[in-house]
Amino acid sequence: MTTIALPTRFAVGSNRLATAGAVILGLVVLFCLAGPLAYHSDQVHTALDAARLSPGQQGHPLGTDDLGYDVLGRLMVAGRTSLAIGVLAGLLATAIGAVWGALAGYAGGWLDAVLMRIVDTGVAIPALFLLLVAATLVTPSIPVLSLVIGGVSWLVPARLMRAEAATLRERDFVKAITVMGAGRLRVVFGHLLPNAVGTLVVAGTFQIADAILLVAYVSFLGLGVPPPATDWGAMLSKSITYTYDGAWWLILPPGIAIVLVVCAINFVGDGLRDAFAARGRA
Amino acid sequence: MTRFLARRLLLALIVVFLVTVVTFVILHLLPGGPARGVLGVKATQAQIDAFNRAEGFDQSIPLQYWDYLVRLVHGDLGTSYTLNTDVSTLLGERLPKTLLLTATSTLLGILVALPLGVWQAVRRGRASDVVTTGLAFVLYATPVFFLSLVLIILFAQVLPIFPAQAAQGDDIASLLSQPASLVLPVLAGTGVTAVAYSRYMRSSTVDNLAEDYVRTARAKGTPERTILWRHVWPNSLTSVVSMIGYSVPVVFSGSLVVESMFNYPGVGLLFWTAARNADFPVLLGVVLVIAVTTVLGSLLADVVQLLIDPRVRVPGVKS
Amino acid sequence: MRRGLGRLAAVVCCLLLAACAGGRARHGGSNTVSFALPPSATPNWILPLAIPGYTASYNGVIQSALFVPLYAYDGSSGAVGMDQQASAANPPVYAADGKSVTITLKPLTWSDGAPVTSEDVQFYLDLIRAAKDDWGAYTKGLMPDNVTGFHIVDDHTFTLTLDKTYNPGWFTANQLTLITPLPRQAWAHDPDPRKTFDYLVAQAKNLGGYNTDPLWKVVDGPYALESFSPTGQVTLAKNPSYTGQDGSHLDKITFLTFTSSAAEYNVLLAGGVDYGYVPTTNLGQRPKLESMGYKVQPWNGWSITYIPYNFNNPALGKAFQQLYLRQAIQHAVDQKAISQVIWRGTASPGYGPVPQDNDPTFLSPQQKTNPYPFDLDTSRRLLSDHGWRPDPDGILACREPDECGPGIAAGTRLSMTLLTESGSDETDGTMQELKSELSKVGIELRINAQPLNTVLANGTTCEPTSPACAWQLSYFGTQGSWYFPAYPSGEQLFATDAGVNFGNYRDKPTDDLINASTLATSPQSMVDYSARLAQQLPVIWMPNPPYQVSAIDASLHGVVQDPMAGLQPQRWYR
Repeated sequence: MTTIALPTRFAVGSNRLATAGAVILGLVVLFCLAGPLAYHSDQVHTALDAARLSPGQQGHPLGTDDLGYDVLGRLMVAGRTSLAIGVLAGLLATAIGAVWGALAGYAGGWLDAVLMRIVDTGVAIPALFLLLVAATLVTPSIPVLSLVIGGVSWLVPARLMRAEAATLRERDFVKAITVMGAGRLRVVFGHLLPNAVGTLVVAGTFQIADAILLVAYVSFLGLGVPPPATDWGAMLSKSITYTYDGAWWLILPPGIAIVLVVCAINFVGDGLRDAFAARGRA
Repeated sequence: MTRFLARRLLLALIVVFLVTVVTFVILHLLPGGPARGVLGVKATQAQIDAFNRAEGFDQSIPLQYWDYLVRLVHGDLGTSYTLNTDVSTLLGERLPKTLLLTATSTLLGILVALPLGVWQAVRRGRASDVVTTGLAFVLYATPVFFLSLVLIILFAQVLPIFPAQAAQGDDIASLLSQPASLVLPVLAGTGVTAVAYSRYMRSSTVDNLAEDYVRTARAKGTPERTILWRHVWPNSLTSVVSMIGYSVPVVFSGSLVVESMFNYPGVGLLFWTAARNADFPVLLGVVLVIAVTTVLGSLLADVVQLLIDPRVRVPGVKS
Repeated sequence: MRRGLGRLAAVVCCLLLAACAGGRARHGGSNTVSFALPPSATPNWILPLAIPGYTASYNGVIQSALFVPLYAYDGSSGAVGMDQQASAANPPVYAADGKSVTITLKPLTWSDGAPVTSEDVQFYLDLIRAAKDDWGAYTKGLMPDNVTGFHIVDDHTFTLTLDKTYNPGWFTANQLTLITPLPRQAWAHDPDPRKTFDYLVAQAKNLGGYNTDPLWKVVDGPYALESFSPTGQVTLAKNPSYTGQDGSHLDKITFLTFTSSAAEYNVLLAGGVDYGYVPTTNLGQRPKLESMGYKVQPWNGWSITYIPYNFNNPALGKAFQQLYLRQAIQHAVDQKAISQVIWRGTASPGYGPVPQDNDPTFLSPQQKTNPYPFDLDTSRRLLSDHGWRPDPDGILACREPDECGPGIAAGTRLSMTLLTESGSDETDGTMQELKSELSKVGIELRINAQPLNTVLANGTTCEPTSPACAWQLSYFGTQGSWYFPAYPSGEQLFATDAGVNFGNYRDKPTDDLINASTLATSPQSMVDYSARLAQQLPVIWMPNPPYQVSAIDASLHGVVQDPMAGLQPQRWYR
C-alpha cells in the first residue's frame, strides 16, 4: 500500500548493519517459534473475567487485552502469522515479478508492450481497492492472504526484472545462445533468471519487508486472519482504541515488533546487495 | 518528440481504459450486488429486483460496461446511491482538499529530502549519515497509521499544540480558515514522501559523485563544493520531477490512510464511506481519478527522463 | 473496512481530549439546539412517502416534524403507545364488527392557510394505491389493499372500510401509522394519482431544490424547513402557522452530519453539539463528559438482536431443526458477560422475540427469565444424550443417527460458519467469545467477517438446493438486528415465508400465534408468541446493543429517548 516503488535503497556500513539485522531477525523468529514452548498462555479461548488487566496483574507480564488474551503470548502467535505471510507473499511476488519481467524484457516487441501495459494498469489501480474486493470474495487465511498480498505486490519486481533482462539480452552470451536456437522459455529460465539471481535475492528480501508492512495494513482494514488467530497489524490496529485508557502495553509491543522486523530485514537486504555488487566487480 | 508524446499518450489512454474494465468487472462480480446495502434489511425482493432493473444490473456485464463507458465519454460518472448527488459534483468538492493535502506534503517532502539526501551522500558512512539514514529506516518501517497515531499522541495529547482532526466543512476555504488543523495530517503525509525521496536523492547523488565527469573535475582541482552545487545538484534536481511522477500511487495511498486517521474530508474519506455503503458509482469514480493521476504522473516522469537523457529506453518506445 | 475507520476515529477522539480544554461554549443561541445524526447518515428525503433506499429513521424524524402523521406511535410516555399530541387525528373508533373504522381529524392548518381535511387523507391513499409497488412500506394484502372503501363524512371525519376484522391495536399501530395527510391543494400535480406520485418522487430526489421548491413550503407540523444543505445539514425553524397542541418550544433545531463517530465526538468535546453520542470505546471518558455539562445516557432501541439459523442449509439445516441442538447452542451464549464486558454495560441481554426492556406489555414470563441460561454442562449433556460424540479433534460428530434426529447422517460434524458484520470491535469480540464457548462444548464456529452489505446480501432466504443456501448462521446486529414498528408482532420475522425470515423458520403454532396477534383483539396472543419463541429458539438470541449512547446538554430539558428512534424535538426546552 504505502510500499515505495522507487528502485534504490540505502547502503550504509552495510556489513555491520546487516549482521545486526540478521541477529535481530534470528531473535524475533526464535521468540515467535520457540517462545510459546517456554511461556504458556491460552490463545484460543477468551477469558472475559480477566479482560483489560494491566501488566503484572494475575501473572500476565504484559497484561491482557479486551477479551482476556495474554498479550505476551499473543505477541508470539501473532508474529508467526505476520512472518509467515510476509515471507510467503514476498517470495511469491518476487517469483511472479521475475518471470513476468524476464519474459517481457527478453521478448521485447508486442509481448513486452502487452505485459508491461498490464503492469502499468496494476500500478494505477489502488492496492487498497483490490484488497477490499478480495476480502469480500475469499475467507482470509495464511495461504489466501499470502496469495492476495503477493498478487498485488509483484509489479515492482516485474519492472526491476524487465530492466535487468533488457540489459542481459544485449550481452554476448545470451545473444550466442539465442543464435544457437534455444527456445525463448529456455533462455528465460535457464539463463536470464540465474544470471539475475543477485538482483532477485535482494529484491526478494525487500519484498518480504514490504509484505510484512502490507500485512499490517490489511489487518488495519479489517481483512486479517479470522480470530482467534491474529497478527501484529491486527493487534496494533485493535489496540489503538484503548490509547486513551493509557493501555500502552496493548499498543507499543506490536508496533515495536513491526518496526524492528521490517528494519532488520531491510538491513539484511542492503548487506546482501552490497555483497552481490562486490562479487560483480571482482 | 511529438511522435513520442502522441504514442505515449495513446498508451496512457489504453492503461486508463484497462483500469476501467478491471475495476468495473471486479465490482460487478461481487456476490449479491449493492441492492441490499442500499435498500436495507426491510427491502422486499420486489424492491430489490426493481433497483437492479433501474440500475441495469439485470443486463449482462459487457452491456452494462458499454453503458458505463458511453456515459463516461459524456462526462457522466453516475449518481451516488446514498448521497443523491452526482459523482462528478462529489469529486469536485473533495478532490481540491485531497490535492491540498498531497501537494503540501509532497512539497515539504522535497524540501526536506533534497538537502538531506545530498548531505547524507556527501557525508556517506560518517556518524551523521548513519544516524539520519537509520532514522529514515525506522520511519520507512513504520506503518502510516502508526506514524499518524504517534503524531497525535505527541502533538495533540502530550503537548496539546495542534488539533487532531482536520477542519470540517463544504469547501476548501473552511480548511484553510483553520490552518493549525492541517499541520498534523500534512506532517504524516510528509513522513511518507520525505523518506521515499531522501532515499532516492541519497543514492542518486552517491551515483553521480562516482561519475566520470566528477572525477575529471576533481582531477582538474575544482573545489568539492563547486562540484557538488554546479554539477551534481542540477543533475539531481531534474530527476526530482520524474521521482514525483512515479511516486503518485504512493502519495495517494498514503493519503487514503492519513485522511481516515485525521478525519480529513477528502477523496480518501469519500472512498471509505463509499466502500462501506457499497456505493459503486462513487467507488468507480474515485478509482478512475487515482488511475488517471497515476498515469499522468508516470507520463510526466517519462517525458522528463527523455529530456534529460534521450538515450533512456522508455517502456514501449523503441530507441 | 469500517473497522479501521471506526477504530482510528475512536483514537483520534480519545487523543483529542487533551487538546480540548474543559467546559463547553454553547453553540448557537440559547433557543437553538444542534443534534448530531448517526455517523455517515445524510438526510436525503423529505417527502413523507416511503421509497426504498430513503427510509432511514433520520429522514423520518425530519418528515414527521414537517408533516403530521395520521397517528404517531412512540415511546415518549415511557411505554410504546399512541402519541395523541403528535397525531393528526383523534383516536380511531372501530365498528362493533371490527370491519370499519371512523376517524376524526384535529383542526390543523397547512401553512398556506388551507385546513387539513379528509380529502388530504384520501389523497395519500390514492397515491399509494396507484403506485403501491414503488411504495416502500407495501406488503401484499396489507395497506392499502386491506382498505376497501373510503367514505367522507365531513371535512374532518371519514370512515375506512376494511376487508376483514383486524385486531384494532395492531391495525392502528402498524397500518394507520403509515398514513400522513398531504396538502392536496398544493401537491395534486395531475388528476392521475400515478403521475402525481411520480412527480412528487422526482421533485424529492432533487436535493438541491429543497430550499427553493414551493412544494416543501406547505407544511402542517410544528416545524418548517429553513435550510437543507446537499451535504446533509438540515435546519428546521418553528412553524409560525402551526395550529395544533404540540408546538415547538425551541426556535430552531439543526441536524449535523459527520463522516465518522470520531468526527462527531471531537465536535461534541469542543461544545459544538447539544445532543450527540459517545462511541462505545470512549465510554471510559464518561466522567470527563459529565464534568463538561453533558448527561450520558444509553438510548435503548425498540429492537431485538439475534443470529438466524439457516434451516434450509444442505449440510446442517436438518441438525438446526432439532430443538435440543438449538438449546445446546443457546446455553453456550454468555449474554451477561458479553453485555457487561464487551459492550461495557450498554447492551442488554435479550431472550425472545419482543423487546426485552422497554415495555412489559408483551413480555412473557418465559422470555423474561431466560429458559436457557449460560451453562456449558447442560449444553454438553444435551448433545451427548442425542448421539453426538467427539472426534479426535474434539469436534462433535453424529454417531447414533437414530438419536441425532431425522435426516442427520452418521458422521455429520458440528462445524458451522458464521457470516458476521465486520467493522465493530464489540461485534468482533462477541463473536470470538461465542466461538470460544462453543469450542468448549465441541462445536466449531468458523467466523467469516464481511461488510454489512455482503452479510445481508448473502444471508438471505433461499431454497435448499440453491447455491445461495451455503450460509449457515449470519449476524447483522451491531446496531440491533431488527427495529419494530409500534406493535412488535412477528409477521415479517418468524412467520413462514415472511420477508425477513432469512433462515426459513417454519412452525405452525408460531404462525397461528402471529395471525392471532394481528387479527384477534386480546394481547394474550402476543404474550404466548413471546413465550413460544423464547422456548423454541428460531434464532440464537443475542444481547441487544443500544441505538446509541447519548450525550445531552444538561440544560436541555424535556428530552425522552424514544425507543422507536423518534425525536419529538418540539417538546425540548431550556
